[in-house]
Amino acid sequence: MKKLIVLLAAIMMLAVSFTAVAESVSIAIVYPDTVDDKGWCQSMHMGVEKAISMGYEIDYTPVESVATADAPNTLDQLAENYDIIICHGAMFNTAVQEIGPEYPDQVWAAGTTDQLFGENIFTYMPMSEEPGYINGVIAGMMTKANKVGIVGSTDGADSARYVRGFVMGLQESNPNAEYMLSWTGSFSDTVGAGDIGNTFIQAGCDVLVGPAQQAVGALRNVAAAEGVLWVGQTTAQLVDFPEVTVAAADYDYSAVIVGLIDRYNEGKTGNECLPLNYNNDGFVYTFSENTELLPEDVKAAAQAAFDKLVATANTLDYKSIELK
Amino acid sequence: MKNFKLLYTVGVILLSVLLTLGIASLILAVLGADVLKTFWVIFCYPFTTFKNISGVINIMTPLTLVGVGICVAYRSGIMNIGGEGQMLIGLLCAIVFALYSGIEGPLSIPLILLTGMIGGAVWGFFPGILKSKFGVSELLSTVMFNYIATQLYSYCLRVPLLDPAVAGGAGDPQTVKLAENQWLPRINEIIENTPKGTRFHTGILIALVLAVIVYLFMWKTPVGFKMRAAGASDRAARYGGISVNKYLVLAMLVSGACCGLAGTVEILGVHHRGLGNCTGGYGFSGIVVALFGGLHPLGVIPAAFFFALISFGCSALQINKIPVPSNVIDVLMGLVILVIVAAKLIIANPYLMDRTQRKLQSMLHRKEAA
Repeated sequence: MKKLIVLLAAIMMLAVSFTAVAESVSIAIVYPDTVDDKGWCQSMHMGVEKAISMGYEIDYTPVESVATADAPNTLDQLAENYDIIICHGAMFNTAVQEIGPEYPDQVWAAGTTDQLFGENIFTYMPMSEEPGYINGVIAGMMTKANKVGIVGSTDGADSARYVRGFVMGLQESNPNAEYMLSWTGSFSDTVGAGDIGNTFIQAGCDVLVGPAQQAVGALRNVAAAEGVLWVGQTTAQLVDFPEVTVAAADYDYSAVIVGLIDRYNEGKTGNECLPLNYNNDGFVYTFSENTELLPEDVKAAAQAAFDKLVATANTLDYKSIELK
Repeated sequence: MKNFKLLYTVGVILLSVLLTLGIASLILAVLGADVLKTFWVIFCYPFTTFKNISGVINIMTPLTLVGVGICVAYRSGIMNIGGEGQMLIGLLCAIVFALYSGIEGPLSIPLILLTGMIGGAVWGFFPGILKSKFGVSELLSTVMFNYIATQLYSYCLRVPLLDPAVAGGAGDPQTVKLAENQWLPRINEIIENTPKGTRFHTGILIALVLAVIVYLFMWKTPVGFKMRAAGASDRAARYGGISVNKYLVLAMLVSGACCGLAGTVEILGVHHRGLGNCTGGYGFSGIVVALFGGLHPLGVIPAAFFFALISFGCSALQINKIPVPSNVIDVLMGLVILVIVAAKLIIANPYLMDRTQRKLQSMLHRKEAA
């Protein structure tokens, strides 16, 4: 009898999950940049594509390059036309908090923040200190000059967590390593990032990193320089610059998309923060296949750091790091 | 050839429209987009709902304020490219005053607006005094002051004014929200039963009133006359006993005040707190608006409306699922603006009109002779 009940329950759960996947959901995502930015926006775009490939029926509308000042207008137009509206960037948080509650029949999502915004608004927060930490471990072991350059975007949102996590990993793997840090003040200023990257290379840094889509500007300079390596924040960098990128972390936003659709189908509308970490596959980590670029011992240390993070999620005390 | 001017103007406008439509259609056809639907969204969709019209008005408001400020400077013989920086410093001063003065009640909004104007005026004063005293090019100084303002604002947003709720990576740098009684009232708070999403605020009234005041100041007062005289010909003005340098500085003060007010109105009316990139580049687009409006404060009003319309329409393309990449949308917008400004310059050029008239006349004579 027990077996029969378990079997029936399993069949019912399968049927429910199948129904959840089969229903089409209209989703609009507001991006601060283009979906091919080799960084932040592209990661989310790829997350949607992955969710579609997993069998979720999504009527997807990307709205690219929305400026902070235009966000209220854009959200107003999107409201009432989509089931779920995702604002992919902390710069839209104020607009979502203001406009979301005016349209209670829509489900809204805002990232990145770990705050709760209201009954019909989900939030999501990549625990970016985790990929930052692994990258820091690699950078600490790879630097010969003991000088590492961090091309920061803005000291906010998950970018701030990434940089602090990186410094944590760097100091743990190589206490003698020094780091240079400068912020472009923007998530998309590739020109500014290029200038900062160039300055760091001139100053003797032989390993560079940088969060957000702006970092590709610095990566171009790394690729043009001799003997300088890059530890990436998106796997697209590993594909486009394989000769200098030793490893790359990446967001897997399908976890957020799938999480939102599942909750939407269950009738949940918000007031919850969805975290992204290695434990829930919210991040992926890819090593360069070039063994000359990435020695085995470094890879093993990074893998050990990765395994530690999977086993003990959300335990990195990134807030304890005081940046120079 | 009676009414040639009218014929010439209509001809240039028609040709410009055809040229714009032709080039834009070509781009859209290459991208596989529905050409007619695209034009419908850009030019007609903004009028389809009150919510959309409200959005257009909200874009128009800062454009009008900046445009009016730019007019004052240009008419007085100094080119103000620093509208963006003046907006930022204006809104920064306004936020600091709003957050720390402890002022509340009916006077709070006018005082915050005044503080924003003073902030913008001070930021305009520096390039003005540098120009008048040391002959420093205002093109150089205003652009440099934009950079300084951007970095100063960025620093304030991240350090002294940072909202504790977003400290340590919990969100994008921002200030705390201003008190609700410091916000500019929205139209749906004044008029009952307005449609949902009616978001435009009383800042538009401030912009319209300011345009009229600046027009009266520049065209109906002795000081305004002297400023325009200095702008029209500084040598002639000096010969007439006008202190050109003094009026250059005054022009930059007024211009900066208008831009500072634009930034403050954006904060009090739309965002209600300091945010990164909250000026939306209006400090720069306001220059084009001013030029398009004939560098006349009242001409700026329709020009700002038209620019807001195009801006809103173009941003609505993606929302209406028209497969045009965002970069191409910027190209389309730039194209429309470029052709309009070019057409305006062609219409305003008497030599070109005269040459065209003579050519047409000689063609007609030859035809008659034949």
